[in-house]
Amino acid sequence: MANSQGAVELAAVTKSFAGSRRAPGGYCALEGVNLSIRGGEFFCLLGPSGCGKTTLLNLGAGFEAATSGRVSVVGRPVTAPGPDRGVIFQTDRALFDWLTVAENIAFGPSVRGLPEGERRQRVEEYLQLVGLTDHRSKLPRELSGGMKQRTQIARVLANEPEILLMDEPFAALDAYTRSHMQREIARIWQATGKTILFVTHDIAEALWLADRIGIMSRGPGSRVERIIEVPLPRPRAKMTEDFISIFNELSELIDAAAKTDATD
Amino acid sequence: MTAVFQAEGQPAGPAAPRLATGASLAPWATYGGVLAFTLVVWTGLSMVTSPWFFPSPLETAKAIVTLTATGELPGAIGISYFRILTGWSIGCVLGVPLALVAGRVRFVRMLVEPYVNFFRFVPPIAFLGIAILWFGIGEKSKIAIIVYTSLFTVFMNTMAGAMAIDETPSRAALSLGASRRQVLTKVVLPQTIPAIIVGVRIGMGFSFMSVVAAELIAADEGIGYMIYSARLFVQTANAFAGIIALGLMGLLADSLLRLAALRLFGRHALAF
Ligand SMILES: Nc1ncnc2c1ncn2[C@@H]1O[C@H](COP(=O)(O)OP(=O)(O)OP(=O)(O)O)[C@@H](O)[C@H]1O
Ligand SMILES: [Mg+2]
Repeated sequence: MANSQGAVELAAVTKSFAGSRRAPGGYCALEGVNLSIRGGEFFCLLGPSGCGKTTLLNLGAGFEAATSGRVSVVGRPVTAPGPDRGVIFQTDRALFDWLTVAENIAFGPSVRGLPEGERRQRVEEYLQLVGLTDHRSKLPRELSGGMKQRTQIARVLANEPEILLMDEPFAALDAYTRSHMQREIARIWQATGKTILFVTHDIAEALWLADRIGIMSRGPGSRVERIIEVPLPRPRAKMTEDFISIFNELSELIDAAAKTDATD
Repeated sequence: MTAVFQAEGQPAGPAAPRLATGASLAPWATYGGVLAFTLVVWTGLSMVTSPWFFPSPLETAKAIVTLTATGELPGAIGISYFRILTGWSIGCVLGVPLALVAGRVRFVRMLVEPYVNFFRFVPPIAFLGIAILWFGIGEKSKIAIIVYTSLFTVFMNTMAGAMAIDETPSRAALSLGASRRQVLTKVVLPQTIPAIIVGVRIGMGFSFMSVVAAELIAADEGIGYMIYSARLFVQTANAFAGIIALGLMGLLADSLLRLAALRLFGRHALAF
């Protein structure tokens, strides 16, 4: 499934934030990050809070520019956001508060000028996928936290981007909905061959989903410390012994990368 | 779960639970009570003074009837409304787009900010003399004052609103394929609507103040003129009538504005 061209590549990327009067000197979030995500790959990024996962995603999305180094997507340098890279934000403030669930989902197809019929069909399809068909006419302020997040996911999927950048998309969901969404995203990924960069705190989630897992070190100047291939066969529906032993192994690596002393 | 909550006596429905502080009276009952209280105190005050010092509600009502019969009051209301609405509309039409651009484009903001920070200390009425010099004693000078008043207020509020909006929805729109221009019209503008409505409402309020001030000083018709000339001829009841008319005019204009805003922009998180 994976082809050899790097779908998302970061080469020697450094990202510093300028200082302010409150915090003079600035802050160097990422330093010398090298990462190559293969086309069609499901890549999970694990790391402690504040290590720079969102920052890394923002660079790939084109929301911010790297201080130095190269960020490219399918061989082209990233200069701006674009519909080839769908972004699911960590925060639910990303929704359009004045549009209904259905209108939020229709936004991408509509600004890109898809014909009315196809637009409507996609809205229905993805409303159903995230289980919001009955709530299609609600405004975001009338939704629960989990429903907002599902709206965001449907909105991005309805745009059918090649690459998905997902920032802890399931963190706000209840355990049942989360495992349902995990299965769905794995199914969509397998059916469509999209490239997915998926940020999470959750080791088990990364193990359910990823082909490879990148472990980030604690900041400042954090980097992708290690990359691990997940040798588990798919579908990964069960807590096998292999799963548990890899889980434990991974926990130790993360503790080491995060230099254990700090708490999350 | 739902059953438990309903058994607690919370009615199901869209109404948000009220953080009540004891007041469970219907609004009309409260308004009626306040009105009755006001009339009692007012009557009391008029009884211990004299009609030319503090006319009673009855005398004020008589003045309203007389002024209406002579056509003086309706005429004054009409001309003042005309000045306010004309000036305020022009102010809004100029102020909103300018404020949107200034709120979103740093360079434009830097150009206008010095002016804004200077003129915010210059009350509209200070320009009346100059306005008369430039536009004559007629309608134009008064309308110019209202334009200045509302333009300023609308501009300040809208710009603050456009500056304070969250960037995340704009970023989301860009990665969904929206152009810069689509982001401005389909995301930034809707996000700014609540601030625009606030600005437009406050602008209306200040326009009422300015028109009366202008009419007190330089006019021969309008509510402000009516109130002022009543003082000259010690027809205090007429001044009271004018003040009541003014309050009601404002109330009506604001209610219509709110109603229209709710109708047009009910989906937005309006601050009322
Ligand atoms: N705009 C900014 N200005 C200054 N510092 C910033 C800015 N954005 C992020 N940072 C800093 O960069 C570091 C990484 O932040 P980031 O949001 O990428 O963390 P994260 O790994 O996504 O954390 P979490 O798991 O809690 O979401 C943090 O120390 C943060 O304070
Ligand atoms: Mg984050």
